[in-house]
Amino acid sequence: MAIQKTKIELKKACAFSLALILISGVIYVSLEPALIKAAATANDSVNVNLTVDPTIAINSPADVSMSPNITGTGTSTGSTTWTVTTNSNLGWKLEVNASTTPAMTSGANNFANYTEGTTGTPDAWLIAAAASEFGFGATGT
Amino acid sequence: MENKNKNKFKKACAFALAMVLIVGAAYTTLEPTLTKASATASDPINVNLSVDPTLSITSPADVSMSPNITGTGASTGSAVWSVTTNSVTGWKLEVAASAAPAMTSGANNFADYTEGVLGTPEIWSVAAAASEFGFTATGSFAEAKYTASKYQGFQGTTKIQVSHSTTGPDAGDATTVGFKAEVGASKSQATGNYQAIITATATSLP
Repeated sequence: MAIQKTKIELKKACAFSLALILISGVIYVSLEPALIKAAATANDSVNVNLTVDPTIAINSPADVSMSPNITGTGTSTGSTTWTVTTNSNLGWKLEVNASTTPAMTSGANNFANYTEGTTGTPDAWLIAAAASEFGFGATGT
Repeated sequence: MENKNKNKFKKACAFALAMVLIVGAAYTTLEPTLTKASATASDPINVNLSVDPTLSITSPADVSMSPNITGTGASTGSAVWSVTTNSVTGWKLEVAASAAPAMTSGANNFADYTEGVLGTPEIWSVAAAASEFGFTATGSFAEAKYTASKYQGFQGTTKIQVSHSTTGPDAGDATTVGFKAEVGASKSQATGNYQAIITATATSLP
C-alpha cells in the first residue's frame, strides 16, 4: 500500500517536472531574442607594411707603415683591419683596389703589382730575383 | 343592426390588435437582423516588431609606413575605420594583431611596444637598443587614454578597444588608428619588408 502510494507520488513529481521543463522551454524560446539581443559585429583587416632599408659601415683604421724598411733586398709587410657593420640580412662584401697601377710608387719608381701565376688567383708569395713586387692577402673569419 | 355593427367593430379591433401583436413580435425577433443595430466589443492587441542591430565598418587600404627606416629612426602610418550601425546603444571598435610580435619579416621583427604599465598608453619612447611597433587612436570616439599621442603595443590576437559610442544610430563614425615603429639609436634592425596584419572589429553594444 505504501509502495503504491510512493509510486503515485513519484509519477506526480515526474509529471510536474516534465511540465515545468516544457513551460520553461516555451518561455525561453519566446523570450530568448529579447533577453540575449545578439550583438552585430563586423571585421576588417589591413596590412601595415614597413620597409627597413640596408645600412652599412666600415671602420677607418690608421695608415699602414710597412716594416721593416727594405735595405737592399728583402721583404716588408704590414696590415690593416676593416670591420663591417650592416643591418643587411643578405650579408655584405668587402673589396679593395689601388688608386693607381702599379699601386706602390715613389715618384717615377715603383713596385710592380704582384704577378700571380693565374691572374686573379692568389698564390704563395714568390718573387723573381730580378723583380720587386707589391701584393696583398686577406685573413679573418 | 347596431349590434351587428358593434360585433364587426369588435372583430376589426381584435384583428387589428392581433396584427399589431404579430407585427410587434416579428419586429422584436427580426429587428437586430433588419436594422443591424451595432453591438460593440473591444480587445486591444500589441503588434510587436524587433529591429535587430546591424553594423558595418569600412575597409581602408593597406598601410605603407613612411619613411622607410634606414639604420635607425621612426616611421608612421595610419588607417581609418568608420562604423555604421542602427544600434541605439552604440558600438565599440577593437583592434588586434594576427601574431605576437605584430610586425615581422621572416625571422626578424619589431617587438610590440612596451608601455610602462601594460595596457596603459604612454608617450612614445623606445630604448636605444630596441626596435618597437605600436599604435594609438584618434577621433571623436577614441578612448581618452590615447589622447596626447599616447601609444601602446599590440597583444597578439587579444582585442584592444580603441573607441566607442554609446548612442546611435550612427552613420560613419570614424576612428583613426595610428601606427608607429622605431629602431633605436644603437639597434641594428635587419633589412626587409616588414608586415603586421591588424584586424579591426566593430561590435554593437547591448
